[in-house]
Amino acid sequence: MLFNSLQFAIFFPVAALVYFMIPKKLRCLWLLLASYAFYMSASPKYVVFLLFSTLVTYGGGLLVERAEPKKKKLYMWLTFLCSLGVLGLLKYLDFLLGNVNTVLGMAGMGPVNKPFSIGLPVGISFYTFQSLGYMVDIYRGDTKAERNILNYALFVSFFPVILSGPIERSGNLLRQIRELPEKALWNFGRVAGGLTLLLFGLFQKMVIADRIAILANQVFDNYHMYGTFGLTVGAIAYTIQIYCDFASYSMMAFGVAKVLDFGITENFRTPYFSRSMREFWRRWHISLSSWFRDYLYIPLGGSRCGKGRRYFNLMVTFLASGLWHGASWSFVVWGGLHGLYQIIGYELRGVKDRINEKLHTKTDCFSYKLGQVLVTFCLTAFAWIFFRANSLSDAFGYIRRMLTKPDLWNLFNGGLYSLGLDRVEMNVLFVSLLVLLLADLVRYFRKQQLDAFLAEQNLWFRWSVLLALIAAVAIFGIYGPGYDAQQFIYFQF
Amino acid sequence: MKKKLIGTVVFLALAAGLLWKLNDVFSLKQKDGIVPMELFYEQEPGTIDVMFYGSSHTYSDINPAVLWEQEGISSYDLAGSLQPLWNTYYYMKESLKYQRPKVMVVELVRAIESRDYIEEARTVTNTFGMKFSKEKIENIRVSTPNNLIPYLLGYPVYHSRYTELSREDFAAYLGDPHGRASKGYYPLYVTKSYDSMADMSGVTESSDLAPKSEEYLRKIIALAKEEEIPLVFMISPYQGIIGEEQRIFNRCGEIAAEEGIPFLDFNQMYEELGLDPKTDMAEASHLNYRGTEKLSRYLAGWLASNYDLADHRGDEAYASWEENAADWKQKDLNQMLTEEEGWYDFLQRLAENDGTYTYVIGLTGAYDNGEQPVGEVLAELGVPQEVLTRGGVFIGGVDGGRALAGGTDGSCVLEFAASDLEVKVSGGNQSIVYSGESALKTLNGINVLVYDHFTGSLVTAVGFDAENGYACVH
Repeated sequence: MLFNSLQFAIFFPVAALVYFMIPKKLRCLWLLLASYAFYMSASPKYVVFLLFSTLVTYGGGLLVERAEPKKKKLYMWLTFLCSLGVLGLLKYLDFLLGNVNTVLGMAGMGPVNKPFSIGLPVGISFYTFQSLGYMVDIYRGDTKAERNILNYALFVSFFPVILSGPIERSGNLLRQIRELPEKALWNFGRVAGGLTLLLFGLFQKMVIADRIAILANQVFDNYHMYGTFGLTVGAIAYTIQIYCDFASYSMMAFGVAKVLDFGITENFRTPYFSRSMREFWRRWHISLSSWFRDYLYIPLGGSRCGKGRRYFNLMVTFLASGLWHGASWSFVVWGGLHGLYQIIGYELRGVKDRINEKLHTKTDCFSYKLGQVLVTFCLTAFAWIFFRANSLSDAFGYIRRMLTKPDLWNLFNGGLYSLGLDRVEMNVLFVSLLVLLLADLVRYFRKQQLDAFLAEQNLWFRWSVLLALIAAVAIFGIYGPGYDAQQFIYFQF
Repeated sequence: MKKKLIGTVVFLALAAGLLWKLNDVFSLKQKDGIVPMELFYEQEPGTIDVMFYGSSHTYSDINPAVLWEQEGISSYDLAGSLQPLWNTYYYMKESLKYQRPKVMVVELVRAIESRDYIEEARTVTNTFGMKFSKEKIENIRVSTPNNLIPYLLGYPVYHSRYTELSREDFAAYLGDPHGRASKGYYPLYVTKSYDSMADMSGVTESSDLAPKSEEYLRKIIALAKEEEIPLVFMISPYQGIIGEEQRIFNRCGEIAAEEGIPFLDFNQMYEELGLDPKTDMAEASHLNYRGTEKLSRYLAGWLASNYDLADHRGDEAYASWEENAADWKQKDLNQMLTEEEGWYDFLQRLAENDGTYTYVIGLTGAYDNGEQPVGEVLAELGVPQEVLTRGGVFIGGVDGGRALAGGTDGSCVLEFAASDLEVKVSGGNQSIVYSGESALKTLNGINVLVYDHFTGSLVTAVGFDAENGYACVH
């Protein structure tokens, strides 16, 4: 069930209204039922893996907490093995066999066939990581194992976050679930704020992401037809698409949770305003970045070690992040590229300072900061080519053509309108992007989410913005028969 | 809390109003299927004596205005584009909730449909004019295996029409001043000439209908029996018929005979209609407005002599049929003017118009080649001598009486319901601009633009080129 579907438009009001009306002690059960209904609406059979992951980590958590210090680690690793084993079998076996068969083929041997055929359960990477994070928290003594199975099952399956995150921590979501019977719940401003975020998320997804996806898909799927101009526009388009797509989902999840009086992790903080790649990863997919930081990078030694070891830790973390996104070499290269960006960033730090000093470059002014933002944006966009391309060879082909087929005349002869979106659609896109830019500027400079910003404004302005957003989604949203339902990109992970 | 509650209600009302208006503007306004159904609901209950159902062969081939003019029969075309028999069945069920016709005529050309589901864009949209009802839901379900909810809502289907919005989307009844009086007829004002109609007299054997088509044909028969309303089956004549289609129509005839239902197969009777394939076809499948009149006159006579149908002419309750007939006559007159190629007959028709036209005559260059009595005819229309001598522009008819002679500087703007008309003369140059487009067709000759106030539309803008013997230029 997508947030931008008719089913959700019926499901959510019903789920929320019942939630507000039933006795406090039934709230957890109701949300759990609603979450499973939400999850099963997409693919009922995959609920088995959700239940398995829930039960394994629930039991594992209790075992780790009660075990003698010597056995804690063993139980934790056993739980990891079970959870990651399922994830590995379902998500990475194809990739592994593909590579093994390539090697076997080169050695003149027959291929190994996959012994089973099960698709990838939606959201499995998210809920697996969420429950493993919980395990580590218990092992470290940061949180107590949850004894109430209903509370824990809701923590793993909470419907606003189960499909695409944010990957929640026990210290946040589980704590709020435990406090559920004490919550006052109905608060007019909070519900209105949550719905405002939901509306803006719909705008970002249906008007921008799904529209610009038409252009990005056209260019990436037919990259051999385009030169420097078209391929650069395509790469920028995908850079915007993936942000709008994923950030919109996170914003909607945030809004939906807020209506239900849950505060979940903010997953994006205007990442394309970052002035360095390090900053980018503090603003992009924050829940995953922090997960890898806390549960992989720091245990590996983090940055409190020698340079070589630090770079190794960085590279391992980013390669793992790449693999988390998908089982293919494209994602591995994408992760590796980001690791490389980090290492180069460290190495160039001193050089950059010396050059600035010699050239008397002002570094505390708008133009310098803008330059940093643009460079970061370009590096990010370049890396997204590997992320989006249909294969690793396509990614290299794409980049090769982008660098060797100059066709700048297309910038002036209307070539922009031959990339899948005509002039009218382009105009709609530009205006929508301007609206998004304004919202992101508010977020960046005033450090406020849209709902908080609007709540401070006069009624006429607030209502005008909301009505304009409703009209924009209703008119310019990409939906209805004739369009394939545009799934959120991060569902596949 | 109370204040916030009121605020919420007001905001939700505003949002609902906004969405309602958006739906109104963006909704599909196809004359073939949607508008006829919407207008049907506006008919006074119990006023329609004859209902015609079917596909384009109904709404383009049967003109209720002719039945009204000839026999005073109140009839209505309730039909949609490419409409298969299952759509027709639900149209019938829906219509019988509002009207109690004395005869139901079902045009059966789409009995040839062999698919269970056909193009959604063409047929499911035919359900968009229906009010929310059990019949509408069933009509959609039987038309498509997918997308019930979006089709039921309608808006998800047509919300992306923002690139094709036009004036009609913002005006009631598509901006047609007599659109409200329409009885579902959608004339085709084009002509394609054929040497002959297809001779189907030798096709005597029959072929079965596809199962779904036969199922709904039987349901139509059962519905008529249940409602105790006489049923008539007919096949409109069309030039492009092939033998296999005729065999299916023969089977329809057999079923009709078994059930005691009159069956009028006009592909076997087109000579009785007096159809001329050279002038009466719009294309291979449909009659044009001339052919339609012939078929409709035959039907009027046949229905009047076989059923007890009252003559409602003069009855105030049937004023909309009167208005519809007047609209039809005027539109046919306009069409005949459009088709007129000779300058003399064209100007004569202008002179004979009984006060519904405003026309602009622009005399450019050497408009009078001295070979024909152009000056005299124009003078009879009221073109002043000054304009006849020096060229220029004359505006006649309803908003007429103005002239801008060549060699002077002047302009005038006429505000019409459909669009504005701007006329300018500057020295030896002149311009006639209607709806942003130049209406000057020749630089040496007679340019004429005609606007009809009755139909609220531009009739034509033509030129008669003096250098080419006053050949008509469109």
